[in-house]
Amino acid sequence: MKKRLTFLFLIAALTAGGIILFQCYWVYNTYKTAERNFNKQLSDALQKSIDNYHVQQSELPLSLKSPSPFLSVLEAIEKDTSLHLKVFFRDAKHAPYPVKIEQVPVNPVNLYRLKVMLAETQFMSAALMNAIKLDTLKAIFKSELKRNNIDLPVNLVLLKNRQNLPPGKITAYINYSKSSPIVEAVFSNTVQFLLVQNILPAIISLVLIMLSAGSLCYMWIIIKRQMQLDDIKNDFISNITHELRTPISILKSTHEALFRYGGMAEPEKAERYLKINTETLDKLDHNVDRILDITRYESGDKLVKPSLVKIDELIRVVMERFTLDAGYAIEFLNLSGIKEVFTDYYIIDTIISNLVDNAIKYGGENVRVAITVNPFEKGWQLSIRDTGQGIDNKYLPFIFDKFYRVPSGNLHEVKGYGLGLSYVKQLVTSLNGVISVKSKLNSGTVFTIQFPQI
Amino acid sequence: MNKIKVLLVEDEAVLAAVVKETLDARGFELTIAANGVEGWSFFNNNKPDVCVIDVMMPRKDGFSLFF
Repeated sequence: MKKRLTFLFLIAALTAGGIILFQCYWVYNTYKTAERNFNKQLSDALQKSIDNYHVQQSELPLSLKSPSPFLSVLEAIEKDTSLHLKVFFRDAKHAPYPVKIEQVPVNPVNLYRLKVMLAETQFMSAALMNAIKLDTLKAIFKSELKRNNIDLPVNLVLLKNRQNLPPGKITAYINYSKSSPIVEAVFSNTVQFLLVQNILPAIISLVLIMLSAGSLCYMWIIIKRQMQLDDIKNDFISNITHELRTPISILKSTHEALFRYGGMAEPEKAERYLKINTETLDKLDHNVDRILDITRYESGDKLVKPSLVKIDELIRVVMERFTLDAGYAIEFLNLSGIKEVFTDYYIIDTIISNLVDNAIKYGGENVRVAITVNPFEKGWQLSIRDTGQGIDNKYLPFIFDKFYRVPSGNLHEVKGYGLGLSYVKQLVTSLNGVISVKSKLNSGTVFTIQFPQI
Repeated sequence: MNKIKVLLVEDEAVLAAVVKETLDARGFELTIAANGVEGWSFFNNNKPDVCVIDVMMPRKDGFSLFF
């Protein structure tokens, strides 16, 4: 069972790990794609700003500003006519030739592109290209960025060398000439801007990763708890079987000794064996009574009979039971100043007896037990502290469960049904009290009980 | 004739006493060990003919003693 659960958990862990890795890869990939798109958007905006700058800075023909824009074109013609013009070259190397002027209408869709081309031709000279007004271009670029909802501090740099440009830079040519310098836009905080833009998918992924990891942890807790419950169940079955079989074996052996092996012929032996049987049956009877008592307290059947109890006196009576014959080291201290409490004498007696008995049984010969009555704002508090072997913290949540015994395999230092602490808890609850436990291995255990009234 | 030596490892004193009394009267030589450690020590020193071992015991359980 354990192997199968561990295998199942491993498969689940691998799957969840795969999902988490894929989510991380997906988030990284999305970020990289967003970064590429962003850089492209910035480059396009820079190129458009340069075009706008050219259009703004150049002197374009007035014909392009009319409602029906057109361009006047000089067209060479073969023969002289009465309407022709003649083009003369300044250097006189070329012969003059006749031309006519033609008006070419411009489609408004292409008007902007045409304006840009005409403007760029005016900026072809190196002197003009290098004299580009970066501040004006920067202002145009910033307004272009704003139009694209990008508000980032930027600086423009003019690069005359076209080579050795590292990839990933935001650049644009001033015009289409081969010798054109390059304008580079230098941004700060693009990473932060991109992170803010992509925060939503990242958060969703993070939540999914947390959910996957959380479910896995929760599953592991459930599996561990299930394994623990299995151990408890197996331990319970073997313990209860052993504890029930022991009195049955005693009764069987005495019975057979008397019945089959001639024990009846020896009256002294017969009497002794019958006495043993009576004691064994009494013990069984007592244990069955305890189980019934717990059930009654659980269902609230057993009525509490409160009276004024002298607490110091009651605790001393319980202590004497343990110290008179065996001489165990038990201390008592009443720090509360309370002399009398309104409670059930029998129940308090049983609670203290059970806890002291446990401390002695499990603590060994040299154990020291201290009973303390402390002040408590809403009532009174009883502490029973021992210097025994302590209880491992992982078992503490179960020690008040019925039939639970801290697992020790087949090694049984102390006999029992695992009912003592369950019984104590039921008794404390019947008096509206609360019991808690703190323990440290090899140091000891302290049970604290708080009762709400005096 | 030599008596058959039996080692009974049992932590329940009453049960062990009843078994001892019955078997001793039937010609066995029964020794009681109250836990696994005592049982192991007796076994090594005396090599009994038969061992009857309880499972749940203090100090050393029956299976640890057997294996």
